[in-house]
Amino acid sequence: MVTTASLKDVLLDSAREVFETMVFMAVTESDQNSPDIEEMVKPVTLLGSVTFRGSLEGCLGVRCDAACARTIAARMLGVDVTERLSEADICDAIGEVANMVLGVAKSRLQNEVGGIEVSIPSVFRGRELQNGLGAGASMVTLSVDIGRIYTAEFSLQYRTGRKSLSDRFTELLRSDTRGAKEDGQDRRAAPSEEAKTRRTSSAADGPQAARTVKPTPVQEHDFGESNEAWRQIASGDGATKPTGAVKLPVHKAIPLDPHEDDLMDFNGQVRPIDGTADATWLGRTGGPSEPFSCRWE
Amino acid sequence: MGKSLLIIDDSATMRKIIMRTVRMSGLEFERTEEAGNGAEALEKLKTNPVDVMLCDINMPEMSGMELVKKARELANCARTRIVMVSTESAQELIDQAIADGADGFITKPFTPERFWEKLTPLLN
Repeated sequence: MVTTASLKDVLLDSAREVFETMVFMAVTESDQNSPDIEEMVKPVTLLGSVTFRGSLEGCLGVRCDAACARTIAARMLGVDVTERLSEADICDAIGEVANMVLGVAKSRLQNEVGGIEVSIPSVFRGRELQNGLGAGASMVTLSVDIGRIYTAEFSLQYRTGRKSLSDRFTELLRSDTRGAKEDGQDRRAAPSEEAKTRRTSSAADGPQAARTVKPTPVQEHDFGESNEAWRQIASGDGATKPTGAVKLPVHKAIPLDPHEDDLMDFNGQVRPIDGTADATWLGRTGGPSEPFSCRWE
Repeated sequence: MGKSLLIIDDSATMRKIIMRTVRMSGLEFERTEEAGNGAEALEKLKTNPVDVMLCDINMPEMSGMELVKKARELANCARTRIVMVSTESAQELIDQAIADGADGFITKPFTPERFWEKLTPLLN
């Protein structure tokens, strides 16, 4: 039986294996003398996130600050930490760490949870970012010291798997089509007044300005622009993973620029601690790796 | 004649790591190439077949599993050795990959020794 305690052990063992094999650094569970992770990630947070679904569904995240991420990337690539590393290399490395830790955890939990499907990793850069799965989810967090220098946090959020994602997407897509027909307009058309308002609060305004925007409900079934992947999902091809533009009801990140919808993907179940933030999406799925600003709901 | 290698992974960083780990294993390739997904790899293979492919599974555009099947349909890839390199470790998936035409499977995280163990018999 899967318990919070056993999952924490699995998470720690998995992180150890990945770091010893690929990063060549020791990982130990943080103690009272370790730096506070929330303090560490205040200026800049890198969050690598991988979602999964099956008998359990949820996401695994790894959070750390920029210096820690740079060191991890340098160690993985076998270069000196003082060498110039691209932002893409650093983010890629954090995404791979999340991916591998989940992979190892998954194999260790195979007997308890059976097969689970794993997404392609996404990496976010922002301030005080945190994964969020919403109400009803269980969460295991593990703060670790890496190489006795850095502190990072692994989190595993999960709940009992319900319908398959493709089934849920199919329902939502059909509902979206019905809704669009009923109100006689294409919801993917020109930006709404609400979206225009959001756009006025840009990244340059800072987080305080973003907080002054009155939160508005997320349109329930706004998928952005459909693409081939979605058509395949709608046609019942369960093997297809969504890689295209999507904004789901469970999404927390709302682009300030509606034209940036195509940068969203279904891994974006991420929210900052204080409810608002600017963020940079650096994932590899479904869109170019370019920064965007977003509001969080 | 020296052997050629194609590394397919959507993560550029992971491609570099695999390349480095292969070198650390002591295996030498005269020509090494990279591709970011199955579709890109397939295009390369049509004109430049390789001796060994190290292929991720979860990738956008075209997955590793799909690539294996398509590569095996190419006449010039009949002798190419294909080894999957993935975080996936479910036995059913490994069996499926082998049934589709893969010659081996390496799970991430990996070590240089693991590459040596898996690739040496295939190269010989």
